[in-house]
Parts: sequence; C-alpha cells; structure tokens
Amino acid sequence: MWVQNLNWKIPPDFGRDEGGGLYGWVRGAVDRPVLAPYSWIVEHLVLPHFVVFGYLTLLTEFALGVFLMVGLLTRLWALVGIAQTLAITFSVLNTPHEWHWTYYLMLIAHLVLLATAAGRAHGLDGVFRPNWRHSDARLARLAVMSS
Amino acid sequence: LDEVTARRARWLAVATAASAGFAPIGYEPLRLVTVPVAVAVILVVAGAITAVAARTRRSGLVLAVGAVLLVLGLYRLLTYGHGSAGIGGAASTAALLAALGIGHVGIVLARR
Repeated sequence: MWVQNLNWKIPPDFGRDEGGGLYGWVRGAVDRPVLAPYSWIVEHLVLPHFVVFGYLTLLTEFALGVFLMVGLLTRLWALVGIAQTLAITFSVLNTPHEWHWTYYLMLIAHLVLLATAAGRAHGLDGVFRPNWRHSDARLARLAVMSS
Repeated sequence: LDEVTARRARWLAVATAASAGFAPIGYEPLRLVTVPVAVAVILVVAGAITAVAARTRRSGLVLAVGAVLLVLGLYRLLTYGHGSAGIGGAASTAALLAALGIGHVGIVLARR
C-alpha cells in the first residue's frame, strides 16, 4: 500500500501548482476539517511550506514501504505507519465518497504489525536480532526495542 | 556463505527475479509496483547472479548485487519527478529496488 501510493506523490511541487495531487488531498484538512487543531497546523504550517512537507511525506512513505517490505525495525515503522495513517485520516475523512473503514483497516494492519513484531518471523529483524541482543552498543539496544 | 545464509540468498534470488512479474501487469489495482522493462531485466539478472552466488557460496557477490540494487533504488528516488533517469519507473520502483538491496546486504552483514 505505501509503495504503490508513492507514485502519485510527484516532486517537485506535489500538485501544489494545479491544486491537485498530494496538495489537493492535504488541503482537505482545511476545506473539510476533521480535527480542528490538525486543520490549524495544516493551514498555518504545512500548506505555506508545502514542498518541504511533500518531500517529507515522500521520504517517510518510501521508508515505510522499504522497511516494512524487508521486515527491518518493524515495530518502529509500524508506529510511524500508525502516525502517518492518522495524519491521512485527519486530512481526508470528510472528503466526499471516502470510505472511512479504509483508514480504520490501515490502523488495524499497523497495530497487528506492532503487536506481533512481524519482522522477527521472516524479515531482517529475525536475521539481525541475535547479533543485536549480544551487543552492548546503544544502537543495538534501540534496534532490539524497535524490532 | 554458510548454509543458512545461502538458503536466505536463494529465497532472495527467487523474490528478486519474481518481482519482474509486475512488469506486464497493466491493470492498475494489481500493479503494486511500477516495473518498466529495463528494471525487469535488471531484476532477472540480479536474481540469477544471487542464485549463482548462493550455489557457489560467494558472499561478496550477494553483497555486490545488494549494493547495486540499493544504489539504483536511491538514485531513482532522488531523480523521481525529474525525468526517467535512464531506467524509467516511479517512486515505487525505487522502493522495490532499495528493499531488495537492503535484503541482500542485510543477510550477508548479519552473518559477519
């Protein structure tokens, strides 16, 4: 899902110049507010600096796709996925013809990844964890917690 | 490569080559990753090299394939929105290449 949906987030303007694309969807948080504080943030912080936000979104979702695909630091990226899902939900939930269960199911999918630490089964977390667990390095301890 | 890593490399070889199967899919909902012809060729060749590396137990070859795929993926991400960058595809292509690259590099580094 994250990987497939990278394709329509196109730099360098991310749809800002035509009012469509990622810009159009994010603007929904202002045009059809779901949560007032979130709408305020989008209107006063995100939209005025939209290109920076666009690149941050592209990089975040690229990393989500890559790390979840290979099962590396799965729990950390499941948390990031939950945060990103909430941001999307607060932007588009009131958009006409949106199916609200899409976003509930996205949340549930990431909660399952978080709860089961799925990367330990057939992902790189399972490959690296024995090394991390036997290391005293701070990064290794963080990796154990994130996997 | 030890036996466990060689087995992982074999599975990665299969996954890498099989990813080229997205290339002929024209139906948008099922085209989970954009794979143009040039990238499909790269994936099949990379899969074949990884399979040979697993069979001959050459970890350096798996590492090299991973590094190439990772660099290609990051290059495609950096050039996304600024033309085809020679290999075509989109940001999803970049993610696939980077993920396969990290997989190859990861299984070798974990054993060191």
